[in-house]
Amino acid sequence: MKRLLYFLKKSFDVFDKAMKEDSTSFIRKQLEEEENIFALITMGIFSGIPSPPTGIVLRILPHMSREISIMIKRSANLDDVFGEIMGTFNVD
Amino acid sequence: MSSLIVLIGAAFYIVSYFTYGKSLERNVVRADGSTPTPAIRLRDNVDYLPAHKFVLFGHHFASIAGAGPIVGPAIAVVWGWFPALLWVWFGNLFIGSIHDYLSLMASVRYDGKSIQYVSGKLMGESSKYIFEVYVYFTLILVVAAFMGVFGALASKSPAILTASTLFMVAALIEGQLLYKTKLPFWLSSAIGVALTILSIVVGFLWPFINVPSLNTLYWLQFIYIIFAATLPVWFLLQPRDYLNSYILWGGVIIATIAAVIAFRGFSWPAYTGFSAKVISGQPSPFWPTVPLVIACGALSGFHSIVGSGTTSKQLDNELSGLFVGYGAMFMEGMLSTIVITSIGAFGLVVFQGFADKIAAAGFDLAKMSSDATYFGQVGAAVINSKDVGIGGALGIFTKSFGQLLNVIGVPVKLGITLGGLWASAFILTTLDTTNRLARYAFQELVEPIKKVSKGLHGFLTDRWVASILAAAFGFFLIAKGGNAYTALWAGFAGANQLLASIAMLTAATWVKNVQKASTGMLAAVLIPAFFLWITVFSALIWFLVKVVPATTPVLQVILGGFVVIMLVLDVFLVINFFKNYNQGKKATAKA
Repeated sequence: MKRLLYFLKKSFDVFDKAMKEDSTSFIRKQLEEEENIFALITMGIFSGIPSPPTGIVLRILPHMSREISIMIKRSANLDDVFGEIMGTFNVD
Repeated sequence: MSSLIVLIGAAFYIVSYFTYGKSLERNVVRADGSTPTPAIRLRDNVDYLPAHKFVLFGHHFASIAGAGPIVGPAIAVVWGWFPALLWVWFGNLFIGSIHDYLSLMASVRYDGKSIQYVSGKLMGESSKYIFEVYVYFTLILVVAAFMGVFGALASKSPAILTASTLFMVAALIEGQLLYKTKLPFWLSSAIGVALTILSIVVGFLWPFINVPSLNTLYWLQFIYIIFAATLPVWFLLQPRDYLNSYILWGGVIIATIAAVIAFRGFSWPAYTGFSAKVISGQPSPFWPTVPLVIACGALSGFHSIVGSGTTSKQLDNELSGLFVGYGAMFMEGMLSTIVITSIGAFGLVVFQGFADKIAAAGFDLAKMSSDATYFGQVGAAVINSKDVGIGGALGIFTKSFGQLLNVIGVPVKLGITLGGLWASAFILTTLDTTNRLARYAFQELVEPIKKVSKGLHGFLTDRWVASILAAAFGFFLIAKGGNAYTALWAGFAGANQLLASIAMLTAATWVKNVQKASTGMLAAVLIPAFFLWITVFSALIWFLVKVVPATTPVLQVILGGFVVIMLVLDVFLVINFFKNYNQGKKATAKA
């Protein structure tokens, strides 16, 4: 009985997590977009967008390693953005 | 009989998974548990993030299962429940599940890139563009077909219209609870679920919304999708999709239990004839037109995009791919099996409830019960007749579903409202997401215009212009197309199946040139790919010759134009396939 209850609890946890995962994919997409804007604001100086001042950019640079690596990866995926959006905003 | 069909269906899927599915995993994909997937190799906790296989299965299934696997089989049963069931089962086994699994795994081997990107790499860049054109046409036709399906249902049921409207309010409240209050997650979820149940109960007991005319319903949907698609996702789309998952899983679990313990014989004819009048009142030969009716329940091109767009970036292990990609398609087939079972067992009971109106509309119900051929000729007309008032394909499903749930003690009308909310919630979410997607797709499609005229390009890619254009096209097609939702549904399904055929041809090229599979295993992919291509191509020619001329001038021009363009592009696609098929390994994927 105890094992059965444990199994049911585990199953419910997985089920619950799957539903959250499914619905939070939309929010994750929005987060990605916001990260892109954030990266543009904070690192735009590297691509010629004069904001913010270079001194500030250089000072925050050591804290931006994760963002930089994500942006490099995203820039490599720019020719495949639509597939990802289709995957998130599914139709069926 | 109902119990037997559900149990045979479940056994069929389980056996197929462990035999055919495992063989594909071993001999075609050669899945290797020790090879890190993109979710592991490229993990950044944002785009690439490994998920437990059960969690990913649930997420993937909820993404691929919408209103499609319900509506298609509910239209196709006019051929009889048996051919519809056969197409769902064998379409699943030989095409749909292979299509989903190989799209997912090809994407995994290409760093989680989408199938359209892979098709561009393996079959030339123009294949990628053709893919995008199909996607755009499919999205417009989805808007038109789903507006029509929802209109047909809601215009005949104040209960469902009330429940759907209240459910939208519940989703708005859920969004505020989740993101604007500090309530614990479990509590806001519980309140959301309670509000969903309340919507169903209020719709059932006090259907206070008067049903407007069909045209007003189309206008309301048009305005709704324009605004819904521009709202932030947390406001309506995300909380509604979250609550939708409870309805989906709740509906599947309750319906499965009811179908298994119903022990009900099938009164619906098993087979009504090869050329029953299914699509737009025309005699529709089962082959090749069945994929124009049953799309998502048997196979769907959209699945390849979902699988390769996001699921492939979350797959934790190559060995989980079969369970997620292949298994979720089987689960969707099981959902369609339950739809067919409920109509097979209770569809004629529903007809008997409308006996007077059926007789008044000039149909002979007694003859329908005894003469299968007659049923095939008039079945769709009865289901779709405004005078009879069943409410179209979704009407027959929801009413049969209500009868099915009555087996476990749920009042029929409550069951009907639940079934109606199940379908309508997915349709409304789909309309919202479709318009967002159509905007993106259109912006990609008109990219070449940028070189010719920057001003025109800027105008066309404006957020509002791109958004209104897709919604207006869809609205125009259904509102000025004489409410011909079965014709529009067939157009949508045809475009969707062409997408699937591109994905299958891409998969075949990948299996031959990159995976170097044996001739036998290659045939397991190549034969279904060509079978699908020939079937859909022939079906669309039939559609163009037989159905389009019988529609309104608006549909003749727009829908006919879409079909002609798709057929021409389809020829280019197959030329691309043959050009690239024998060129050996072109891309850098890891075999």
